[in-house]
Amino acid sequence: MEPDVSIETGCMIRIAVLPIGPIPQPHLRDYASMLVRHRRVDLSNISSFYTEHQKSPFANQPWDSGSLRFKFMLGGSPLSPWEDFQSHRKILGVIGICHCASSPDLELVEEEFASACKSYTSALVKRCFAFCPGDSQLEDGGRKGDNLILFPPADHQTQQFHLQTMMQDIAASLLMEFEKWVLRAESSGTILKTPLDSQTSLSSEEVIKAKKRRLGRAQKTIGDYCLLAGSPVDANAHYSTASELARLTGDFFWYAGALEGSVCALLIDQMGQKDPVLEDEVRYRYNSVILHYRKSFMQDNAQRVSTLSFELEATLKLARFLCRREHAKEVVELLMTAADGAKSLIDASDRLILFVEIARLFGTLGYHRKAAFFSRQVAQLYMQQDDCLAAISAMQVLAMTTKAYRVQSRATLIKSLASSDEISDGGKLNPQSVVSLFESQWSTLQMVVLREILLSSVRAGDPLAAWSAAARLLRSYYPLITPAGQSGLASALTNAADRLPSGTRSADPALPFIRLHSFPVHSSQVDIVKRNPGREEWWLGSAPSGPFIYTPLSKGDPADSNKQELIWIVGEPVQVVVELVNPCGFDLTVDSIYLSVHSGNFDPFPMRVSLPPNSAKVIKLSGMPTALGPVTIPGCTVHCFGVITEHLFKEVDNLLLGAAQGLVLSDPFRCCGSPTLRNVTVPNISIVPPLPLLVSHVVGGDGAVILYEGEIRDVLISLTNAGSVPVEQAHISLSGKNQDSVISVAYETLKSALPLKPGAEFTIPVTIKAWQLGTADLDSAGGKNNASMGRLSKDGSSPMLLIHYAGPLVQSGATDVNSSTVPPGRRLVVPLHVCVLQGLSFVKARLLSMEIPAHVSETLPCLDNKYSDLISGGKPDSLVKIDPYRGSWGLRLLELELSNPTDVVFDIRVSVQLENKMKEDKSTFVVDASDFGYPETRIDRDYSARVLIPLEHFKLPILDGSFFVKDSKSDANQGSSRSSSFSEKNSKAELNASIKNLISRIKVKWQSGRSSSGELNIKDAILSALQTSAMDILLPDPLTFGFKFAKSSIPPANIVDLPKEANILAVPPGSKGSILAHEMTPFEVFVRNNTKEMIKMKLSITCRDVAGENCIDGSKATVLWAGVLSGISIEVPPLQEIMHAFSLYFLVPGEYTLVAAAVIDDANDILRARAKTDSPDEPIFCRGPPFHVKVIGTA
Amino acid sequence: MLRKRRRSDQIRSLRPRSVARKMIVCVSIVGHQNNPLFLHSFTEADDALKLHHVVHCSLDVIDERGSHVVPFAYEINNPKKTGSTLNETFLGLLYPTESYKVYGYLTNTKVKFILVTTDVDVRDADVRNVSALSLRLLLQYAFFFRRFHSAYVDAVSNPFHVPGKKINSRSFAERVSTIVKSFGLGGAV
Repeated sequence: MEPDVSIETGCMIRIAVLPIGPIPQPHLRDYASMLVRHRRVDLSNISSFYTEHQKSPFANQPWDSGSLRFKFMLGGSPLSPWEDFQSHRKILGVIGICHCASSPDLELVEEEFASACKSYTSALVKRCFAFCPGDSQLEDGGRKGDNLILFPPADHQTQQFHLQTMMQDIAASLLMEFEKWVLRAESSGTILKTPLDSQTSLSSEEVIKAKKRRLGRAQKTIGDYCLLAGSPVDANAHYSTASELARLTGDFFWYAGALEGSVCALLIDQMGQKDPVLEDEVRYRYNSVILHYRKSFMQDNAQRVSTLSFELEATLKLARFLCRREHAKEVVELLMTAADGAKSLIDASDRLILFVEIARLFGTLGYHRKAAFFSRQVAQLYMQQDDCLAAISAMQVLAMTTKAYRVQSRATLIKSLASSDEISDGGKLNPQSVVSLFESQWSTLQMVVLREILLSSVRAGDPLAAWSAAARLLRSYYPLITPAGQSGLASALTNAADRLPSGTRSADPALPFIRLHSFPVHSSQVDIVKRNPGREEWWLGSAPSGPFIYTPLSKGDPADSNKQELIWIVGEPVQVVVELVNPCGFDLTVDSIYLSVHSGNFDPFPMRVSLPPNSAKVIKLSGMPTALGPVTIPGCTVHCFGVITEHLFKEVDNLLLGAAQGLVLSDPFRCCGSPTLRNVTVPNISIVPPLPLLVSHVVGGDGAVILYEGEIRDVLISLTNAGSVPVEQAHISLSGKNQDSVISVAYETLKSALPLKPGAEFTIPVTIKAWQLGTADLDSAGGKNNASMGRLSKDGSSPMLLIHYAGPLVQSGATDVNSSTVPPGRRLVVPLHVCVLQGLSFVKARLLSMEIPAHVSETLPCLDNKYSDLISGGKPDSLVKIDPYRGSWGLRLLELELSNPTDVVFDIRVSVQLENKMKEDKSTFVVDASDFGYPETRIDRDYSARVLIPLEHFKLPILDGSFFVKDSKSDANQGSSRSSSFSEKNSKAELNASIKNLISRIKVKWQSGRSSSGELNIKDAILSALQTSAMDILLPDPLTFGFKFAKSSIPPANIVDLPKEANILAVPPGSKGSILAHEMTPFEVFVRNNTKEMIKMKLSITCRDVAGENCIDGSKATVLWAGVLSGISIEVPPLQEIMHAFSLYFLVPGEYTLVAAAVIDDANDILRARAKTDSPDEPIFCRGPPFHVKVIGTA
Repeated sequence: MLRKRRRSDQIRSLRPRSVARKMIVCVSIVGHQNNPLFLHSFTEADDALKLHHVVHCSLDVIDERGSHVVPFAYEINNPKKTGSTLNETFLGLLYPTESYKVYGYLTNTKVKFILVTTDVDVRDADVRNVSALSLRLLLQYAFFFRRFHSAYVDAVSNPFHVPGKKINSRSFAERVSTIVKSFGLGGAV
């Protein structure tokens, strides 16, 4: 069988084209292509070369419309045993091609040509074309014979023309030879044999039959020559004679041959016409041809020779003739019959040719799947030949089937896509890929095809094709391949890569699967802020995260808003996060992976990744923008398995989309446990000129500062300009939660450091006070230095420093000063990493009161001036002085219970801020407990302790009508001048304010170790403890009582002991407030009215001994007295005091207690309220504190 | 065109005798994007790949016929017998392979039902010369496809079925098997 047969094959003259001598490949191809153009030579053109020697046997030759057809057999072809049967199988001419430059000796060429021609006995015309002869050769060539034709060097067109002339000459010579042959055959007859005829000697009967047959066969052959000579009418006449004779002699094979020839003649005659009648005729005759070929099948010599190939060839010829859509069904049937017949073909190459033809015809018909199916059969036949060239053929044939099976290499796919001018749209799936997704479900077939391609390309020694096939197989069908098979493919990839030069690129990606994970929109460290040149605070109004979604003031063009914009800066490395996944069962090592950017203004940094089996990895791929302009990142370039491939993100997106719809076998990302991502939008990336870049770090390490609650510490933040542009403007603001905890920021340091040259560094101190855990807000009162900024919505409990900075307004290189193209500024967010640990915890607060009686002395114990001690003593040595002469006059203690859950030791110090103006010099004292040497309270870990805070000095001097005595300054000393600030309306609020004021003066500071110190935030606790008894603490009693010795009556000697600090000048140090028994001692009782009303009362004084017995009255009185001690009616004017004198005579030495009490007459509401009584009838009883009198002496 | 061949006898003799005169070898459903939805083979032999190829190749013909739908006009010949009951979407014989016949059925939604049988006797299902025998057979096929279609409709009506995904419902496979078996019985009549 022969390839490429058609009905018209019968009229083609075969000419062997042989290269003579060494010819460089491109030259040979060039010459051959020139020759091949002359496949058809019109009879009208050759008439000048034609000379009619005798009467032409081709009587009806169409000289004006006919033509000779040639079939050039490049490299020649072996003799066909059937060339007697069909003359067109004969090689009727030989053309040698010689390249003179490489074969200088023309004689040698001629010899070689002559010997080459020897094998073509049937050749009627022999010519050797010598191209590009040198001058000497041209001279030489003249002496040579006719067969060698020199083509003088000339331009292509001239050579073409020359060649055309030569071909016309050859055509004319052939025509004349045909005439000769036909004339000879007609006159003398000829012996024609086919391999079909039995080789043995014939019997006599058969001899007669054979003679008849010979006639018919001769007619058929003459017909063949007529056909070759381009005279279909003559041919037809001979064929009809031949068929008649053959039919009569039962020579079916030749009959079929004659019929076939007649159809060819018919077609040539009716050239160009395609009417249904002709088609029917052809179909009818060819069916008959096929039938008769089949009839001629002889069982006896079926093993040796078979007519089957002729039958199949005829079938193919008919199929090719009918091969159009409207005859599809018929053609399919013919082709399927032919395919059936293939099984009986003996020769494997025949079968190969048959399948090739079937595949081609199906392809022409548009049945691509069937064409692919038969192509695969062809490839299998090739593969059966154990031969590299056959394997290459198999590989190429299989490559053609990939389209039908949708397993194309991307290299071919890209070509086809480019031709269809497909515009890639980011989110949308193009229809092409949808179809391929669907068709990818024919995995059973696709895997087989890919495996065959792999096998054939390995055998063909094409490592790149093998690599590509293995890559496609592994990438697309890994879920269907066992782990062992996957490893096998991996090693196939590696083996193929070993034979490839390093740096080979393949269009088909293998593993891993790569998808775009995210574009890190500038880390907060390098945020870019549009600069508003018109404002001092240039970052405002263009901040990316403002509180408003739409600000009418900002005028952004709408084109920008629909797609995310990303700005990269020349010279600053950027990162893109991608996710890699290896769904296979082997360890995958990606030798290098980097972003593939085609725009040329981006310098990607490669990295190496290794992926364990069935694993996913999210990696950051970085790179450096190098020039201005837009950037698009279509995918990654991967160097894996020894070959460089480009992995496009879009493809994986399509794959995932398909997986989501259930169309694709498996989602590689999901099967490796990686979460599904929402569709990542690829932002528009543009590269801008360099900007300054501040880099911050916390001095002493970037780790979190660990602070206990309330701890105060300075943090140093060092800022460096890492960019190549100086920082000219900078501004610090606070953001985030717990902004209050930043006590101070050294703004001046920042201002003084500007402009910051590239590479320069400076340090800003920031003072932080650790916030309370669990409470969102701190009490904002307390005079902290807060820079209150509008809060930006940021998470995290640590406060952040926002540093807005910018370079010069005009780029140094830029010449045009245009306000619209101000280079943007940047924002650096420095999170103050503060880790707050739980510190001392507050358990409870209690208010305690103490009753310690005072001693009666020469003076009143600081009635008016509570700070008299301090004032007189100059340097106070204690905050609370409980000396026995003073007693617990107005003393209250706030007890705080604190526990220490931490593992460090805390030292607690209490300080009370005493801010008061003295009468004398108006100077201010601030008293700190530590100055008094007040002991620190140490709380060990896991222990709790109590801290006492004396609340002595807060009592107000006047019980006012509103009974809220309030001084804006809370000054206890200026009682008389204070009435101006009384306010009844807001008295309640003022009381609260006063309490707050009181509380704020109490500070509990702690220290732990060497460096940690802070303040305990117990304001709320104190407040709640005080709230209930605030009145008692702050408000004075309406009446104050005091006893003292009457100065005049006591000789100084009697005063044994007096308080050291007493402001009595005459009292010598060391004297004691004791009196002697058996002496009349004059006393004075003072009653002070703390209200602003006159108070009438009945004062009574009692004296008790240590047992508490009244020792004045009664039968057993041990104290004698003079003066009035009970029922003394007195009136005390407002804010005045009166004195009542009396004397006591103690009979028995010992401790006595003097108590003054008064029953107030006609008490007003204030007093009632103070006494917490509602009933108007109830007498109000005021009792003073007890005073001790120590009586010494002998009983 | 119709002819007996010695070779075809040889081929047939290669087939096991146990195979019924017309036996359904394989049924398949192919989606509107030519994606296989279901393929079930009823032979013991390990010829799944071959049947895949057969089904895949038959899509060529369906594509071609689907592009210019020529209704199967039995009405012209036998208006009484068939009327409108014969579904127009029955495509008839798609193509003969070496030993199989492939029949097709195309729904309005371009879902293809493909039937591969081993019957070789009714070689030509050409509309123009429908013999009584082949017409009866064709009617059987049409009936088979209708039952097959309704089974498919039921299967894809399952709310858990993802359109476009392969059908791997066991009950559907069982129902198809039943239909195939009953076809074999009906064909014996």
